Amino acid sequence: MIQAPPAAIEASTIDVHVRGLTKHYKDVEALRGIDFDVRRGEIFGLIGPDGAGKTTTFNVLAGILEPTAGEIALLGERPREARANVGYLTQQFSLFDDLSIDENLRYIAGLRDVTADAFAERKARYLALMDLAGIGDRLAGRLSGGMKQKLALCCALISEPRVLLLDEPTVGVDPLSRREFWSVLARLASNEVTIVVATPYLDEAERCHRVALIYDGTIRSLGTPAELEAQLNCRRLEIRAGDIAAAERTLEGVREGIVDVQSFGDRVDVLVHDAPEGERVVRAALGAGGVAVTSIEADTPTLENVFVARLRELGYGVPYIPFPATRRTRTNDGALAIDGRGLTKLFGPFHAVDNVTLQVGYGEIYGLLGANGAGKTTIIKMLCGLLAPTSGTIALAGRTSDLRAASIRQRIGYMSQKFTLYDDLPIIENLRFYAGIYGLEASERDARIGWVLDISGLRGRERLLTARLPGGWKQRVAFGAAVMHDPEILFLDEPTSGVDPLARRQFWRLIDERARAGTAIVVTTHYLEEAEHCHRLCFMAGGSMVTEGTPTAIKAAQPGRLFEITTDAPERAAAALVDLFPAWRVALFGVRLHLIAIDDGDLDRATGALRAAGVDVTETRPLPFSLEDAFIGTIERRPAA
Amino acid sequence: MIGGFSWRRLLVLLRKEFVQILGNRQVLYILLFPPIVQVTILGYALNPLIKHLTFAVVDESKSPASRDLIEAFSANGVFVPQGADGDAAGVYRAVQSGAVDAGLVIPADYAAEITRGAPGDVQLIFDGVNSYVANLGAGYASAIVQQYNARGEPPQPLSPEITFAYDPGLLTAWFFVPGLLGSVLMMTGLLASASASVREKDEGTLEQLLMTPASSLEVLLAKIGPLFVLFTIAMWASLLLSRLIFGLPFRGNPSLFIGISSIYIVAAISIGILISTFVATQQQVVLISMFTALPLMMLSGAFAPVESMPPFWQAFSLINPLRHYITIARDILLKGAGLDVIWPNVLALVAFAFVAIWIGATRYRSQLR
Amino acid sequence: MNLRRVWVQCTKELVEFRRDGLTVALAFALPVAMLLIFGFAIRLQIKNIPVAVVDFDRSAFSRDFISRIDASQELVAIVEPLDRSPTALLDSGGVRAAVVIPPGTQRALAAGRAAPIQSLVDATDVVNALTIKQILTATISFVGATYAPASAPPTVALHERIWFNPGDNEALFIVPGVYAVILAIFPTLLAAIVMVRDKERGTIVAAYASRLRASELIAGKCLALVGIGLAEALAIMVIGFAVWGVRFAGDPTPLLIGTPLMICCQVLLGLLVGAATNTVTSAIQAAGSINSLVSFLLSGFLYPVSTMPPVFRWFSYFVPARHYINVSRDAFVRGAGWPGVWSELLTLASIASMLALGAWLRMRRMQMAD
Repeated sequence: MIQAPPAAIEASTIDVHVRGLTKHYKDVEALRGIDFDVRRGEIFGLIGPDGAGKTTTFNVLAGILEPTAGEIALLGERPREARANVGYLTQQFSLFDDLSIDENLRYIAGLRDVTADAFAERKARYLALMDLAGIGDRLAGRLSGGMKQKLALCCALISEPRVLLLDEPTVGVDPLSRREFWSVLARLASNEVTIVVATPYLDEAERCHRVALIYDGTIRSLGTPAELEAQLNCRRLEIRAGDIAAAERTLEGVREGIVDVQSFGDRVDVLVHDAPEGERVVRAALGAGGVAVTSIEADTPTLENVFVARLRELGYGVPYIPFPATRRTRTNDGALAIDGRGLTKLFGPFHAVDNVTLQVGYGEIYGLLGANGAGKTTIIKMLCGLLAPTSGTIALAGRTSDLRAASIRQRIGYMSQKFTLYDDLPIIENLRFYAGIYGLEASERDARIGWVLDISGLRGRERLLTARLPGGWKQRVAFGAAVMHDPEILFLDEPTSGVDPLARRQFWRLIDERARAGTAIVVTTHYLEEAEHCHRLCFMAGGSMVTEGTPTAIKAAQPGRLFEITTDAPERAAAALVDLFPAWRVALFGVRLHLIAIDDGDLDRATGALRAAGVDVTETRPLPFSLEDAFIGTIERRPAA
Repeated sequence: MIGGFSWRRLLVLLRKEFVQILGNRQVLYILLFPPIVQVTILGYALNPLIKHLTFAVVDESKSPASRDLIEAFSANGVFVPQGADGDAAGVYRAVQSGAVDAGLVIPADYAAEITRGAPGDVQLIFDGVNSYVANLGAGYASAIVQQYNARGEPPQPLSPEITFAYDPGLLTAWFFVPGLLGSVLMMTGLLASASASVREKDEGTLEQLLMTPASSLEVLLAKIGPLFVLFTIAMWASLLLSRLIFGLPFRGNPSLFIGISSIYIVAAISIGILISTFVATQQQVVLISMFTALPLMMLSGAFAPVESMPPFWQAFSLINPLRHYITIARDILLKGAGLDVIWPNVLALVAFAFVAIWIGATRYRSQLR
Repeated sequence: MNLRRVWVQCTKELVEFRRDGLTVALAFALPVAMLLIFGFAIRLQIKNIPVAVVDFDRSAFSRDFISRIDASQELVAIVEPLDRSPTALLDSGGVRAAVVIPPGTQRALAAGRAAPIQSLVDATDVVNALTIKQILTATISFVGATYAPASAPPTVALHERIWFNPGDNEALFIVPGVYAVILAIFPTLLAAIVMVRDKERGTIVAAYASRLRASELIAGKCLALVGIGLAEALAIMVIGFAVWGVRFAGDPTPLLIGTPLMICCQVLLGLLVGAATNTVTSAIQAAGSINSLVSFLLSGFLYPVSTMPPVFRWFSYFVPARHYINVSRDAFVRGAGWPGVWSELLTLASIASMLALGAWLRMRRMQMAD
């Protein structure tokens, strides 16, 4: 599929045609002339940092925003005329919370003139496809984030549009659901549906036929992922070392022979022009820095490497600036910051959280991972006192009673999943508000506000209304606002969702730094590579804790071995392997397949099956388990409730 | 949960609320201007005195005496004759269809009866669909006939000397402005505060606010702040305009009135916040606010005297802050009364504002569900 | 306009409305409660107004005078001690008028000498003041006549009759008016919120991105809300009948046509407000506070429209409640039917079309603003 874009391109098969698309708002030039074409049955990805102009592009394509200039045609018609054949999934949920799943679908189907028979058939089909069958009468407002996204996709699909516009459809969706989501997209594309999709997850973008990198209102690179990766003209060295953070710091200091350094969870990627020469430089530098190297492997760069390197080239940086702390660093004296025992929360008969015990010390980063609706947010709300547990005890900073006392709240920072900034306030006022409400001294306050503006790159634009910020930037300001008062205990509920890859790295450096300063941090995320930063983490499912431990311990506890298989036809290969093994043991990462082999003969059976399916295997190599593999394996192996 | 009050935090919260409200022009205008315009325009437009009552006349007597009577009826402009065609039946039809408000039938033997020395019978029919108009009209008619009967007589020894106190010119605007001012402040204040407070809950920012060290009392006072300033401006402007347009007197102590008005505005805003702690959505809060505000208005004496209400509702109106405010406003503005007279009403208002804020503050924190 | 899409939009609104149980309960309970409160509590006719009498005469005449005042429905006499001045009595706020009967009044009367009786009337409430004046004058001249030397008989005997409401049942005046006020307030509010909420939450984008036309969107929402409004109308009219016996006085067809028209006007007004505002707070102020005050005060519910200055009389033509109140009072009290109210129905229909046009103009682009 990846290699399948039609060889002969005729004009008639161009479903989306964009020339010179320009959009000026009152004071901002959002798009400065964009050109691209999308062929029928193609998955076309839009990637770019937050605020690059992706959402504006979608709104124009969907016909709900008038462009300032440009020639745009969908299926040969102007966007407004083409609306009947275009499905649009907006970044904000466009579901009606007070309507059930069925009613949401029926409304959208009605708006789009779907006949009753077709509706019944498609509803059954798509709900089954999205694992939403059987709960058709559940209210949309009661669905978890991932389920909402799936329902929104069903809504966009119900009219069987020929063009599908998806604006960050998988943000906030757990890794399992995301995999399913993308296999649905692949199937749709093979049925000649044309898809334009924006995503901040670059491993997803690898699955697009072609990708456009937008920055500052213009397209900076366009091509297949492989082409973009080739354009970079670099080799990637995958370095695994004892101390990833130290390795990254050390390598960043090296000027000669290294193009770029990026850390990814349990490894550091270094881009070099020449692999052997690069490896030599790396080993020398790390040796000098006293960092033990576990392994170094050379490979082609990933799309994420391209993204980061290209943007750095263009001058888009997300600077890391240490927090201007005035509090003395708290030493980790073994005292518990958070001590929750036997926590249970019932909503009616529903066990949102079931007997969870969780302890976090000062200076520790604790990760809560789980599918959408597993109870992570409920636990956080109980721990920070917003929600009273049905049973169980909580000690927060040593206090067991009156967790709502002002003195406790002063020591806690909380960033909830929803944006918690006041949309109708300018950015600076939001920051002044949070600084003031926590009683920061004037000098301290200015330094901290300046710090937030610097890390979010908003210096000079602080008078901008918060509502006008793109989602990812709001998230950065919200993060800054939550840590500005230097809390001893910090709760971060999906802080990085919807944030671009560069900003995500910056977030985690800041989180690491706060932890080193003695802050106890509880964090949830759907990016499992990020979870490597956690000192300890737990996997949750159905309100209970399934596994808890350090990332290394959890990965080590996985049964079987992980193999990476490189083939010439990954989609076909995946289909062949899924027939042989349970779906969770086979995953597609970009152009590579991951297979979890439990028994010794599994790998041979797999290669045999691939050969039988006419797929050419170019390379097979063993890989250490990633947290994502561990997560999916753990969740899938859990006996069905 | 009132412990740990901090002025500094209150200032921070106040600043935020002010910036929010000043930043949204539409909300600002819609909160500021309608109250002012409503008070002055409605004060000008509303007129409970009956004028221009149309009446159809059938003069079957067609005599100088009957024309004289018709003349007397039309003289002061309350009744406007509409020449009716034909007979008494035509007049009845005109009243029946609602074409005229009243019908006067002077029978053929009217002049003869009078010459005989007997009183001449005339019939006056009112359209009772609007019983308010009909009753007032009937009263006017009686007075007109009484005057008509007394004409030419020597003056009666017993002469009533009636003096109108406080509003000698009988300007209805003087009556309406205090009532309208109170009503508009109640309605706008309550709705604005209720919807603004629910909005914070709706958007999830309340959750974040509850995680900060701010106490509920601080949050509540900050919510009241900007609306308070806005409505105080509206009140000043309304009074000023009323003074310019209607010559509304300001007989009592102005600072006393301003002080009491402030308490009243706080009370109105606090009721709105209190309501918002009981509901979850904008729809619910609006419905309940309207339902609270309208009866408070109608049962306050702003438009119809409290004394005329059934006893139960009169007693009920004692817990209506608007009723007390209107009494105070009329007493201070028109009568020039001081605290010695109005203290019970002031006490009631203060108690009301205090209780509303107190319950609001205790409920505010426990509303996250 | 595609009727199927209108229906789809309409059912979606109804399902959404039904889902919020509290709102459903409120939408019906509040109008009924308001009807009960207003029907029982609002009384425009003056009753039991306290009047202080300072009686220096203490004669048969003065006693007669006092009992005569008490006998009237409107006033209640309160005999005050002689040392209270009329001004002080009024200032203290307990009474609305003070009458002083000077010593020797009865003797003066009998002798045919002038005997002035001073009354001070509180004119803060002008209607009150004029009524008090009327009753005092009538009472004084009536009681005076029995104590004074005989005078000539009156020339005119006026026979007044009030039609349609012979028992002078004020509920019969208030209740049909309250119908109009309730139907002016609640459907408008619901409509404004329904419209602006979709905009504020961003869910309207689903409609923008489909081929739904502005006319279909408005018609669908309108249909749903008019349905809810009609249910409210039925509820309050049934209660009005059950509690006060307010029933059709004649041909019910003008009301049966006028009620949907009225609700249509108010719903469209709400939709227009919702389309024109950008936050729920503004929409509520416009559709709630402004609309309800205007419907209350400029509709003729309390005070007749005819007494307003001409500009406002003209303006009131645009207030749907003003027209509906005539339809409702005719249907329940007068019973004249079509000849009396056809023009009101026509006006309601024109207002509805103007509002529909306004809402359509506002929404016709079905696009996001910049």
